[in-house]
Amino acid sequence: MIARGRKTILRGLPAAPGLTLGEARVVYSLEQTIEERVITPDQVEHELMRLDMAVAESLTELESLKESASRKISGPVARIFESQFMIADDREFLKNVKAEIASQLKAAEYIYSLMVEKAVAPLRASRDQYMRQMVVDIEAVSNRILRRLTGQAARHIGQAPQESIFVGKIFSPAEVMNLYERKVRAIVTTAGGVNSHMALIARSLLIPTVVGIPQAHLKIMSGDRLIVDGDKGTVTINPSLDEWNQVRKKKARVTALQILKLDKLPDFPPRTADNIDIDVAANYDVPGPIDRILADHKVGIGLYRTEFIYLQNGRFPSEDDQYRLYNSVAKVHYPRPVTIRTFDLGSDKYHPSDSNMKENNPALGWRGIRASFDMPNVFKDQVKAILRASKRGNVKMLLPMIADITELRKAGRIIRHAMAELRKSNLPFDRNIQIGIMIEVPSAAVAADILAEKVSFFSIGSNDLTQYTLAADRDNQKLAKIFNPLHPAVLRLIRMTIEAAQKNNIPVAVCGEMSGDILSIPLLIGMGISQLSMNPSRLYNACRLIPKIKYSDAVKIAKEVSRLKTLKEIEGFLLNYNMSVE
Amino acid sequence: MVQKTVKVINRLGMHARPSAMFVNHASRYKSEIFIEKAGLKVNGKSIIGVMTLAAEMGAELILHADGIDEKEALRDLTNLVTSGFGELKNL
Repeated sequence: MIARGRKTILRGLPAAPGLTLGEARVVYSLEQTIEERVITPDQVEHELMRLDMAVAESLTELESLKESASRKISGPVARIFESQFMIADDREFLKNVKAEIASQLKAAEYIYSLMVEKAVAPLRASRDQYMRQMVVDIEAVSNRILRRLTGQAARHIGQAPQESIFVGKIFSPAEVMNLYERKVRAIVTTAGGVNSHMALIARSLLIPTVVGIPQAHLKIMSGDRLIVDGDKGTVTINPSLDEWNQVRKKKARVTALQILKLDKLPDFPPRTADNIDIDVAANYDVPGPIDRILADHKVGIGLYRTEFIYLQNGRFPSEDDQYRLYNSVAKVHYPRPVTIRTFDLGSDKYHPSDSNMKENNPALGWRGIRASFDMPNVFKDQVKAILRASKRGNVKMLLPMIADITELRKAGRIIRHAMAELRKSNLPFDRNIQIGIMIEVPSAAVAADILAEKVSFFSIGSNDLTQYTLAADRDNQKLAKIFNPLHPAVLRLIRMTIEAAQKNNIPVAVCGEMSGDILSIPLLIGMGISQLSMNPSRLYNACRLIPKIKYSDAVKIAKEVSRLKTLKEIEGFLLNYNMSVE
Repeated sequence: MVQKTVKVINRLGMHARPSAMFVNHASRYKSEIFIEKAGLKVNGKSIIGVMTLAAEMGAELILHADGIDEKEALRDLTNLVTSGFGELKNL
C-alpha cells in the first residue's frame, strides 16, 4: 500500500526536533464567508449586543487556554495567549467597530472583519517576520470572534484520529495545544517560520515540526504515509518500505514524553550485567513537561542547549532573565547536575533579517565560542547568569567549539572577570563550579592532553566532531553514507580524548547522537566514557540495553574495534554483538 | 496636551511583547494617549492600534498625552520606548 504513490522529499525548515512517521491528516482552512448584510437602525442595538457576547465568549475561551498553557508549557511561551487575550479585549478597537456599525448600518461580523483587515494591512506588507507574526496573532483572535458571530464552526481538529501527522497551511497556538491532546505525532505546515508562535509551542511540547514547505497542504494528501524529520526539516511522502522500516526500527517515532509516560524507565541509573553503574543523562532544550518526567526518573541534564533562548526570543535576554530561567531549571533538577552550555549559535541560526550574518559555510564559520567572543557583553551576561544559578552546587558550565588553549584561556579570563563582578555585588555562586569544554573541533581532540590540564570535564560533541573530521556535512543527504561517528578516524580522536582525560583524572561525556545509539553504547562504555548524555527519546532503549552488557565484554569490544580498519567492519562487528545481547 | 518624539531602538521593533507592554503602561493613566508614526495616528491604549503601527527599529514616533496626568504618562512611556522595552540592543 506504500507503493501507491511515488516517493517525494519535501524540504522545509526544522522547527521542532524529532524523527517520526505516520499517516497524514490534512486540515484545510475554513474560509469564513462574511456577507455584507445591511441592518436597519433599530437593529443596531442587537448587533452591538451580539458583538459583546462574541467577545465575552472568546475571552472566556482564551482565559482557559491561557491557564492550561501555563500549566503545560513554560512561562514565556504561555504568554502568547496573554497577548491574544489583550487583542480580543481591545476596548478602543471595539469602540470604533461599534461606532462604524451604527453609522454604516452593516452587520457586526462584516464591520469587524473589515476593520481588522484594514488594521493589519500595513503589517502584512512588512518584510520583518516579527511584524508579520502579529498578523497571525490578530487573525487567530479575530477568527475566533468572527466564528461566534457567523455561527460557523471551528475546523474540527478535536475530532481527528489520534496519533496522526497533521498537515495544514498553518496552525494557531490554540490548535497546537489541541493537537497535543490528540497525541499528534508531528506537524507540517506551508506557512510559518521557526520563530513563529506555533513553532515555539510545538518545541515546548516536544512535537516534531517542519514548517515553510511550499504548498505542503496541497502536495500532501490525507492518508499519505510520511516520515517527518524535525531535525533536518524534511518530509518524505511515500517512503520506500526500507526507509519506513528503518525509521520504525529506530523506535524514535514515539516522543520522549509518550515513551517515558508509557514505560517507566527500568532501573535508573542503569547498571551493567556485572554491576557497574553507567552515568546516563539527558540533553535538554526548553522547560516543559519534560522537566517533570526527568525529575521523576531522577535523570540529570548532561547538556542544556541554551540556543533556544535566543531562537525563541530573537534576542539575548538580560542577565537577570537568564538567571531566573537557569535557576528554575537548576532548582527543579536539584541535586542532580545540570550542565549548561553557553550559546552555540552560528550564522545559520540567527534571525533571517540579519542579512549581514550570511556565510557561505556557516558550520565552519562564526559560531559557538567564536561568536561569543565577538559579543563580549552577551557572553558575560550569560556566564554571570549561569554562575548565579550555580549557587546550589549542581550546575556545571560547558563551553562550545573551543579549538585550542588560547581560546580556553580567553574564556577563562572572561569567566574570572564575571566571578569578580558577582563577588563585588555580593551575589552568591558556586566558587568550585566545574567548567568543561566541548570536544567537537578536531584540533581540540588532537590537543586534548593540553586542554585536559585546564578543565574539569570534557563533553564530546560527536555530530560536529564527525562532520569536521570526515569533511562531510551532516545534513547533506548525499553524504549520509560517509557521515558516521563509528568511522575509525573519528573513534581514534575519541580515544585520544579519553586517554588525555584519564591521565588528568577528569570525566568525559558524549552528548551527540552517538551516545543514544544502540550500536555505539557498548563501544563507548568499553572505551571508558564516563557519561552518556542523550535526547530523552533515546533514554528508554539505552536503559534497557545497558543491563544486558557486561562491562568486561565492553572493554574487549573496544579493544577489538580499535584494530578494525573500516567503518563497514566496525559496524558489522557491533551489529553482531548487539544481536547477541538483544 | 504634551508630546515628545522618540525613536524605537530595540532590534526587533515594536513586536507583540513591546506593544503589549506599551498598552499596559498607557492604560494606567487617565490621560488620552496617542502614538503617531509617519502621519498615522493610533490610540496608545489599543493593542491592535499599537501593533499595526509596524514600528520597526529606527522608527520615529510622536507620543501624545492629554489629560490630568499627561506629564507622568509621557515621561513613563518615553522611558519605556527609549529603554528598548528592556530588550538588549545586541547585534
